[in-house]
Amino acid sequence: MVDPGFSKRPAKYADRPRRVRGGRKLRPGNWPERLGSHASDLFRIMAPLASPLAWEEGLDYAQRGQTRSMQIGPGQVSASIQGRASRAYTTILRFPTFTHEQWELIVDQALEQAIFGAKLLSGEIPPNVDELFSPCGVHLLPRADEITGECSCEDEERWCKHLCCAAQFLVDDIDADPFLLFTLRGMPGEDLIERIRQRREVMGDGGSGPTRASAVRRFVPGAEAPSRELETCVDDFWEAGPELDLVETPLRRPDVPHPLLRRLGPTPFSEGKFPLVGLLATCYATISDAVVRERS
Amino acid sequence: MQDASCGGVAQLVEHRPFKPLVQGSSPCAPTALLSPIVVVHANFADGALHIWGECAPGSEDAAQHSSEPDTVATHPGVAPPDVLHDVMRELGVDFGAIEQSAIQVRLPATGGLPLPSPKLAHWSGHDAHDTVGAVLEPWTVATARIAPNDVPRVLSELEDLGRRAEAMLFEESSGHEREQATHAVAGESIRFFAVAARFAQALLAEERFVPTIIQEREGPLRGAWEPWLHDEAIAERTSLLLAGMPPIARAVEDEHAHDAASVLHGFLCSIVDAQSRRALGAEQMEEAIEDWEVDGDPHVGWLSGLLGTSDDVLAPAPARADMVRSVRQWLGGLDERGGETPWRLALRLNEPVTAEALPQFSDGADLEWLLSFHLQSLENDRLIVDAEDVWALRGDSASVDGHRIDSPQELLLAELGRASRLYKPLESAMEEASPIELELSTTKAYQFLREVAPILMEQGIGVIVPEWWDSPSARLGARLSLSDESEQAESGTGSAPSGIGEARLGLNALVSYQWRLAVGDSPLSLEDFERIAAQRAPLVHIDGKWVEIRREDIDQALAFIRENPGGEMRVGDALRMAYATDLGGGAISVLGVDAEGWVADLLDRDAGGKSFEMLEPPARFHGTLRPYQLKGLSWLVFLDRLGLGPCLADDMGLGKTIQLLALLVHEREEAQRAAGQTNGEATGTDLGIEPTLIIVPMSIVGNWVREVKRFAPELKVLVHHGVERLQGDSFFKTATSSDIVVTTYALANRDRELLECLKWRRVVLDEAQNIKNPSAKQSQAVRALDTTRRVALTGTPLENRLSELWSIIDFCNPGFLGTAGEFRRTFSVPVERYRDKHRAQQLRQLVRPFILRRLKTDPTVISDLPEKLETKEFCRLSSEQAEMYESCVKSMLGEVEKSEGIRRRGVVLTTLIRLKQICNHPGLVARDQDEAAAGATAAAPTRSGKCIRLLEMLDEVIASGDQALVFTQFRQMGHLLASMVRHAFDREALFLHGGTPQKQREKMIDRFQKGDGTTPVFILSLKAGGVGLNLTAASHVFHFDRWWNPAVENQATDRAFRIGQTKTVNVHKFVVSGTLEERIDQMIESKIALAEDVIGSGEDWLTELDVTALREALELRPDAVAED
Repeated sequence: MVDPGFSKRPAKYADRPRRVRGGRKLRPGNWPERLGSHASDLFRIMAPLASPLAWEEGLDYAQRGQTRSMQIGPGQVSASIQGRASRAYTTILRFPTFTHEQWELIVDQALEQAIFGAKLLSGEIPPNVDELFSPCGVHLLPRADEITGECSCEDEERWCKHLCCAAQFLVDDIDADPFLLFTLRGMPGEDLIERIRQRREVMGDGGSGPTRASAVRRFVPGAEAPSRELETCVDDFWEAGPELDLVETPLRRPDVPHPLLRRLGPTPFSEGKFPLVGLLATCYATISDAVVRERS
Repeated sequence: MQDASCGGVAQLVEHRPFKPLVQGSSPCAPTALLSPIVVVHANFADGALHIWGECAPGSEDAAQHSSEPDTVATHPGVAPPDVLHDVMRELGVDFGAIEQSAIQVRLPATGGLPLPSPKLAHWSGHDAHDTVGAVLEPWTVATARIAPNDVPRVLSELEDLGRRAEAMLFEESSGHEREQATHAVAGESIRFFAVAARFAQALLAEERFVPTIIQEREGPLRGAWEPWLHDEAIAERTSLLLAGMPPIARAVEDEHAHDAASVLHGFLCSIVDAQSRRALGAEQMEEAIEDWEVDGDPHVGWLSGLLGTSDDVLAPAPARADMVRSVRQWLGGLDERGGETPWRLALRLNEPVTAEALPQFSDGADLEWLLSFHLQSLENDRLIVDAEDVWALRGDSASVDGHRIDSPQELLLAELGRASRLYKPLESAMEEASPIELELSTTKAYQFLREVAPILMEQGIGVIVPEWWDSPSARLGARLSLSDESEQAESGTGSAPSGIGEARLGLNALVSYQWRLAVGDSPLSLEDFERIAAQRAPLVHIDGKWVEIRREDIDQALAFIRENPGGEMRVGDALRMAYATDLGGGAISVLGVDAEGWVADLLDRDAGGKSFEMLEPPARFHGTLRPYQLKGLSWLVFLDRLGLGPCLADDMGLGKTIQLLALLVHEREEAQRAAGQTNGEATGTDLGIEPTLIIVPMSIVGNWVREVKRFAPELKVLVHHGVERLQGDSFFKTATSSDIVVTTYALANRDRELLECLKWRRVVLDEAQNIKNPSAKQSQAVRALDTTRRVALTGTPLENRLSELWSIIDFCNPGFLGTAGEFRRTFSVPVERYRDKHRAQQLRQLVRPFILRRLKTDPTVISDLPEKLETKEFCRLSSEQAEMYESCVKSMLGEVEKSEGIRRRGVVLTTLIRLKQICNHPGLVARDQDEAAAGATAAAPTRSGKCIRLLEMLDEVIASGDQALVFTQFRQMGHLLASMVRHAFDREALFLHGGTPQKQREKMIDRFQKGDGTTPVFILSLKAGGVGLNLTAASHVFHFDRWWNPAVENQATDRAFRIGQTKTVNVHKFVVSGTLEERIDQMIESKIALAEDVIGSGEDWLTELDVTALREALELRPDAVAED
């Protein structure tokens, strides 16, 4: 593709932003009427930040498809927006994230009220979601004064049309996937769900379940159906099934050493320095050896 | 040892006095055991294995209900753990360092008392309790908590309790009393957890486990090693284990909530973790992370909870959740099997295509192999789409042979991405926009085949490899050539040494052998081989195909060929070598055996083509040999000539005795022919053939004599049995002039000095399973006899009882299978305990030349058989029976002289019934006389010759997986037999009599017809069971006592012999020699007596006889008694 910065522009297009091929456009529908509750709340918070003109120009950019790319990450939204200049502007919206401890408290809250956990696990944001955050003195939706933005354009206005354009996209994206709000606040939605799941497993249902949870999902082949009610087993209570005689248990070394480790691939911890996988390979060989040696 | 164990049990008894459960209403108390019994059970609770011992509570010893209503009652019959510990130690089970504990289990109970487990009921001499009305109730049970690392060992020692008890007791009688010395038996839960523990060890050996991280409600994270059961390779075994779990094993009241999968998983985790840590600890693996900083390095933090005895994962609290997530995602990768589409990636390795044929031994150094990419349907794995076609597709979905693929291009890319995580070279192929294949050098292709393909397949990626890969035909190994062209072979024609001469070397016969290197079936010269070796290439093109050349194969092969250039060796060694049992681990693979001459005959007995010579039936044999019997005879002769000891293991009823007698007749005819005699008696003494010694169980001495008289009347038989048996010189004189000497196992030991002084032509063991305990005196005695020919006859399937197999083969061919200990290590343990199919196969091949076993159901046999095979079993009386019989006859004769008319008739008829009862079992008449004394041993089978024989025969029937009907006229006898069967075989015996309600009859019939082996014996009273039943699941019918009217017997027999019967039915009619029963039998047999008027009147005609005739008819003849 030809770099638009080097192409000569006809004068009649000088007041228009340069066309972007394949640029992002807002999803169709009445704007902002079609927005769901969380997105329209955010819309109402952000719209007043900018001048009405900038906000309108931003909307125009968003509808024209001036946005080359946009990413939503923890605490920030970054976008590359094409204006009139040859180079696209880099535009960043910033939001405060919650601390680790705050998130722990939030997870606690989500567990205390079953409805939160259940809603979140099923992929919905509960309507009274702010109750999760109030004990920490925070809200899921940012306050207007918490939001900051910066843009590489030369507009004097603090909230330029490029920032406004990015803001419209943020609202549109959150409308499509409300869990992005959690990402914005520092914890990707799937991570939050994961944590809630982990904690629920440890706590069990009403405390009667297991008190430990392993990182390995328990799976026992043949256990697709729950076992026969013990009460119905009085007649053969003490008898093993004939299947027991068929279980083969000779000790064999694997054809390929540490097959599972090979399938697991590199370490899960990017920050780990100790050669974990190498040592685990030695562990596998040591353990397998010891068992085979002991039996023979 | 035995005394010590008694002491231990006494200790146990002291604490909780053993009182038998209230004697059951059954009049036939079984072989009651006077020693106390403890049944050992196991449960998995709070992360550890708990062992507890169940013993019989005293009758007044009610459950100790606590005064507090909410607490769980204490089980009244549980041994205190420390006492159990001591008792077990004396029985050779070391619990290690136990912790006394208690668990709550739900157990079947009635009336506020726990029901004894069937094993306890059984071993303490009671019928199984009816579970009707039983419910599960919680009981507190005192347990010994076993340290995790001791668990596999303790379980396998407990599993061995039965064997240990047996080994401690070398009793010489028929073995039905072996339970007498057993004081502890293992319940099924022990067996279950023992198998599960071995399974956990198999998972460790196969490296099917993962390190994980455990999150608890609070506190630090824990490291753990857990089994990885998600893969298909493990699924079948796990499912079997789960399905085999006895309910008792999940009876604990805890968080597992009686869920089988949860209990099994928990137990496997505990074993895997404990064994892993022990192995790592032994190698001081923890030192590896000693000098590393934990801070900020989650690797070190996690490993700190994995390598040593501590499971603490060192990680700061805020990092914990991330750590769990990372590990969870990492391990979750093992489950990553692509999206939810019915298509997956398949990689196909294609051999290089070259314009010209590759030169021989090409290492393919400059060739390119292609790994091509495809999509493969999961529903039909033959449906494969090439990547090229995928890229050419237009649109979001496509349809291939009616199978829809959504977004095929994205799918292929995503799948390639998944595969590239496991096989990095794929990444380079993906640099292209539409990758279709990857080029690999021969070395890379080999690495792909050996290391990568299995991993990819496990992860659910299709891999298509060339056909030759991993097939034995493409593997380097050695073939063994054997031929009989050794100097000792008598004839140059390659046939077995013939004649009756003594050039019989048996397993010591020398055969010439040569090892040849080979690829599959094709031999390879040493020069060629060295050329290949020099190339050091992993894949070499040989004879138009690629062959895997493993470095270790080459080295081993070279070393092996240098050490074994060929020459002569003993045939026994050759066999062991051929089946690779002597080569040791890691040795060169034996690809096959090429044999010539008689060695080939020996090895391919049944394989088509040439085999041993089929003989003509011996002319002097009285009777017709069925075709399979003639084959059996030919085989016996063949092995006999080679000096090898055959074991004829045909199914019961196929005529093993006949085949053996035919062998004796044949050998005399041969000798006669050799001596140039054409007529005259063919007895051994005239021909210089020493007598054959036949050792049989006491119960069938009479049968043998009868069979000899019937089929080989020219042979002279000496029965060495009974108090009046010959001794000293008179024995020698008579024996040496006989063809056959028949004696019993007991006498083989008792008179061993006498029997050892003679040189025997041959020693034959009938019912050879009698020597299954090699250390028993009778087993040692029969081995010590002086002979060069040994034959074993047995009807039990040997492959299921390996120690028996060893004993018998070792008798026939001493030393062939190594010592008992070696055999146990090499075969019994791997096959019986670990279900090692490979080892079982090796053993089968190894013993195959020496065992001939035909089943009634074999197609070649069944066509030779009639639908019904009838035999008589001649039994003897025990001395107790004989005494009673004689006194009964005597008192009757006295009475008869004094009385007349109806009274006289009454006396005779009562006596007849009584005599029949005495023939059946003394317990039937002695009951009223001395009940107290009789109590304990009333039902001992040893009191009756018939019972001994019946149990021996049922043992074979059950071991062969067959079912039997047993008819008797006496209901009481039926009860007695039912109880004997229960105790001898630990299986329920059905008993149907006149008083059985209709509903129960139907239930019994259904159970029996189901034929699942749980109720293999169905006892019926002749009258109740004679009509209207359809019991075709039986292939054996026993008539325990005789009825005057054969029509009634035949009617009963027809229960098993109806439309729907597919097997030959064996009918066994029991007759006690020398008694009234034999008289009845003779009468039925004799044509005259068969006259309808006599038979029809039943026993009435007897009442009309005068005293002399009565005495003649009823008195005991000398051959009736079985004395030792």
